[in-house]
Amino acid sequence: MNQKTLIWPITLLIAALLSGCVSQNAASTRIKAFSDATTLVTSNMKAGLDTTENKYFDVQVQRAVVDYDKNGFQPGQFKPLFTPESRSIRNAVLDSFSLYGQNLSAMMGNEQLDQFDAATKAFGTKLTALSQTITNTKLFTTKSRPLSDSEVAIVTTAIEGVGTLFIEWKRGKSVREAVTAMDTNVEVICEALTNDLKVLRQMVANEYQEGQIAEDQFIRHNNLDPVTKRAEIRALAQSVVDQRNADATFAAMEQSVVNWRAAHKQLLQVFEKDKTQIDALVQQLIADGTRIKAFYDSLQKQ
Amino acid sequence: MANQPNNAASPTQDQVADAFQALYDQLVLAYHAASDDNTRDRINGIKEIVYDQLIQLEQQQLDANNALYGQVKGQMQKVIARIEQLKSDINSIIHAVNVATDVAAAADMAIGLAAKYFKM
Repeated sequence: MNQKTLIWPITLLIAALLSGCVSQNAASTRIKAFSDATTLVTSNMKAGLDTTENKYFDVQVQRAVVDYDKNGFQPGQFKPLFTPESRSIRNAVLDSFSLYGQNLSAMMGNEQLDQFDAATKAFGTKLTALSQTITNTKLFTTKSRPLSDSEVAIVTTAIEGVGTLFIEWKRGKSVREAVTAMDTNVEVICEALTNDLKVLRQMVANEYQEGQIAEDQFIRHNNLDPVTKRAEIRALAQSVVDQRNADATFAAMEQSVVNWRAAHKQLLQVFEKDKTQIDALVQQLIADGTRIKAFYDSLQKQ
Repeated sequence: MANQPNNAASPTQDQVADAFQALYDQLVLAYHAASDDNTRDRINGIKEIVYDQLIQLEQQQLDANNALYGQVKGQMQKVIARIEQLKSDINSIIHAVNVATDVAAAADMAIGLAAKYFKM
């Protein structure tokens, strides 16, 4: 086969590769966005568990303050909200989902393709050197070099092209398999998270109310000077505002679990032409997740 | 009435928690509506007992959910292992090209040395 007859197949191969790269890059960007959204959902869920635990501790402290003159300090009255098993299994599963998202993203990333590209380039260089040595040493009886520079380039381009296509095919196939296999787990975990969030939302609302009543009792049963009294009442009013924000945040978390479930169901759309739904869902997830995270960050600063 | 058998089904954990929550909500409203401190203190005493029971019921609801998390935990490890396998499959393709490069380099060196040895 001479070089002219090789040009068309090589051109077609490169065109196919380029179009493949574009669609793979689009899929890669979206899988990365889904991975980021997954990390937000899981870290916000952990922050929700922390908030519920911390507010429960606050309630116990406020009650201890009110009862101190009557009962003194009772170490036994401070109890954890979650059993170690409850908390550790939730952390383990939430971490696994975050890792799953990161692995999907890494799988679609460019690291291995770059390594393959470097390996084929090194192969081309060695092949050129070998061809040159054969020519220079005249060890074999051929009159010309076994491979011209352009022929070496064609061989390495072909290896790179076929290898890249294979890697991308393998990645696309594996991502499809992983997402399909994971979908049932996502359904179960979303059911578990939704159940949890309903209970946690109510717990946090009660914790705020308990805290407010304990604060009210503290104000009523202590002869506070006017400035201190004003500060305590202001804290009480702020607690009502915080309670509303916390309730809205837990409601948003429930919705983000529903959206996350829907996004995972539509995730394979990243390999199709119409990506409208997955794009909208992931954007919504990231926007909601960022707002929820901002609430928990503000609690940490208090 | 006391001797009649109770044919009603046992309430579920969620139904008991809902009933306690409704009672708790009413006590909170009553606390804020009370006109004097003594009444407030009495309501608060009852409310704290109800709250402690409610917390226990909610903890049980969360514990009941542990089974769903346990169900997912094992499955997750399988999917993550499959993704790891893919990484290793792609690495083996890269390794094959690296081996071909090493062969070309070794052949280059052998031919170069042979040429010198045979003075070609």
